[in-house]
Amino acid sequence: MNLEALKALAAKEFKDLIRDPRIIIPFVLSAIVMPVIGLLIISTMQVAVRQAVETRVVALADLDRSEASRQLARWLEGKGFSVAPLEAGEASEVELAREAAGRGAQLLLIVEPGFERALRSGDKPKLKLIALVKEVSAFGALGGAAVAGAVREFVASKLLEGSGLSYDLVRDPAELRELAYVIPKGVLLANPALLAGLSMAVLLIPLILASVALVVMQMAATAMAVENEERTLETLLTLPLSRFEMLLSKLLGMFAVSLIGTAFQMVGMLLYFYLLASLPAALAQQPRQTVLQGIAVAPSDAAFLAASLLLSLFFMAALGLIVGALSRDVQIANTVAGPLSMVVYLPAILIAFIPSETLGPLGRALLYALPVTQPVIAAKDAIGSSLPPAASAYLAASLAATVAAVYAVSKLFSLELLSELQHKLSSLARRGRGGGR
Amino acid sequence: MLAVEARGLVKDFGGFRALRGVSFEVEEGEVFGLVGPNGAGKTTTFRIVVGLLWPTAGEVRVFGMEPVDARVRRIVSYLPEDAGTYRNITGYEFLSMVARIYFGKGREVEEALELGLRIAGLGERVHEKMKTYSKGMKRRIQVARALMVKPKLAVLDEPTAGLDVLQAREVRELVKKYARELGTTVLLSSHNMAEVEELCTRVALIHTGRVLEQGEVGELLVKHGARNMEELFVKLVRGGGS
Repeated sequence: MNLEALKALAAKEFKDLIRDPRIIIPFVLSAIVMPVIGLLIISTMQVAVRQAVETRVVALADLDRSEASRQLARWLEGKGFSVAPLEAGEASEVELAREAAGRGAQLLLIVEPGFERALRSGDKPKLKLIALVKEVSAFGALGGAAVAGAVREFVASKLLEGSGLSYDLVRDPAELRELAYVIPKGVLLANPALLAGLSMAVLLIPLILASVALVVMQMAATAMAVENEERTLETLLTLPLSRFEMLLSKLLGMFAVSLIGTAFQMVGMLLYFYLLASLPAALAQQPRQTVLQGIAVAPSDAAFLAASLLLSLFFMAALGLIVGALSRDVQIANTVAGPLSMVVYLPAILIAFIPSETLGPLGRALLYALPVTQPVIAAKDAIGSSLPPAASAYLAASLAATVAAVYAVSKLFSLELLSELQHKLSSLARRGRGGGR
Repeated sequence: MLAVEARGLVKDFGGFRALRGVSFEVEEGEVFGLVGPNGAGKTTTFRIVVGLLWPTAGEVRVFGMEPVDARVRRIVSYLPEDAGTYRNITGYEFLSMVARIYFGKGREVEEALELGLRIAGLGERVHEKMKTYSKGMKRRIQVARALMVKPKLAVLDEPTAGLDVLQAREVRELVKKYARELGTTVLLSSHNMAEVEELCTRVALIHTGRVLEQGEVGELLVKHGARNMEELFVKLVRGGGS
């Protein structure tokens, strides 16, 4: 193998790609967009939480007109709510809501007739709490929970009067601490929020890895199609290099660029998770605990994942080269790469959402053996449980498939074959459009 | 020794026959022109000569070897028609890459690069990305790329196509000067008859995949009573050859 020639061509490929704004800008954007999304989520949540805990105006329609209902109004004021009494009369709920909104209230509490009587007889009193929604949004109903909580506390304390029991005891009669033990990882999670974070990671990280692989395939397809479009491929094919050397140098150059892209995406992803990790603190004012603790992966699993991802990137780049080589221009390459990416993305979605047991041993073995799906399923297992015992055998299978793919693509690196295939594909396309003879 | 020997080349693309028995010989050290209009089969012939395509029938030898022989790649340079350049690398980086691919490293690389830079003659602009180059500059870089490795045979497909008069003249001068200086055999194609007359010692006139006539330019003009190549070509096409 002509190593110097290989290095020269790989360096050319690397420089040509890394200096292309169409390649590098999406990489940089991926590092920026994810933390920005994280920031948006967290700031929106924080605003919603702040709105929920801020003193809110509660309009009170007292249809019971009893001492108990007046006590409830004072109770709410004592809890920091500003209570605006409404003249209920014969008005309907809609009319009351409209009037409450007109007075700047965010909530309307209707105390139904019989409220006091129910409290005395130990029955459940009837009330209605209407959220006055100015704008439908994800966190629009959060404020109602605080008022509902205050009302329940008032009713419960009234019902418990003289019983010797406290509201806190009845509301939470056992000091039950919820924890989660992740069996395959042997990890005890002290906070349910951590389990939620772990679940999110199990769902998202495989999909992100699939996206990285797709970006590499797209890049390879575009780079190769540009060779066709700019008519540089002909020159390349006459250089004193074997087809395998030519392909290998192209793949190495692309691979180096894709690694940089992957690094950008990983940085973005880590920032995203770091920001999301502060959500439990923002929502429930709990001590700040990091979700990243939950996604900690064993060093051997991390090494497997890294190797698997590298093979996958190589394989996807080879696949992209086939697409690009068979495309006369970039537009055709992109048109073909789009639907092809679904072949990668759909299994990734399947892996991310379907419980492992549902896939069955054969399904799992297949997904582990293919370079396209291996890092996706391995990421899910490494984060959420553990890698299978046959992991190293699967890695060998993926390596074999990748080498076979590169070898097969190198056979395609001939103008004679490419011209013939392009001609056949064009004829097929013409026939498909009804324009063929 | 013959640099190129083509015998009865036939090439089919699907149902279309691009070459219908093309035969010609190129002597070592000469500048040989394959002349014909667009679609005559010049590019297909060249692609077969450099091993990019395989003939459906017939055979070709380059310095006695099959074009697909790995040794042929070391001694043949091919300049495709409208060959593009890599957008984001500089002319210098491109020439340097070619030198390293051919010679690995060491003195030969430096010499080849030095020659390439001299042929390209782009001055400081050789350090700029090639996407900023004009068509003429791109062509100069490509010609430099083809000749800097001192090939035994340079196959130049329409080396001046799409260039303005001045740019075309510059490229012609480069080919003439360096082919002579380096002792390179040149096989070039053109549909510019004046260019062929200026550069080539011998020519083959090709039309619809067939060679109509071949020989020394002066002899052919006399033989067919033509004042120039253009007139000769028209006579041959209309008359179907003598």
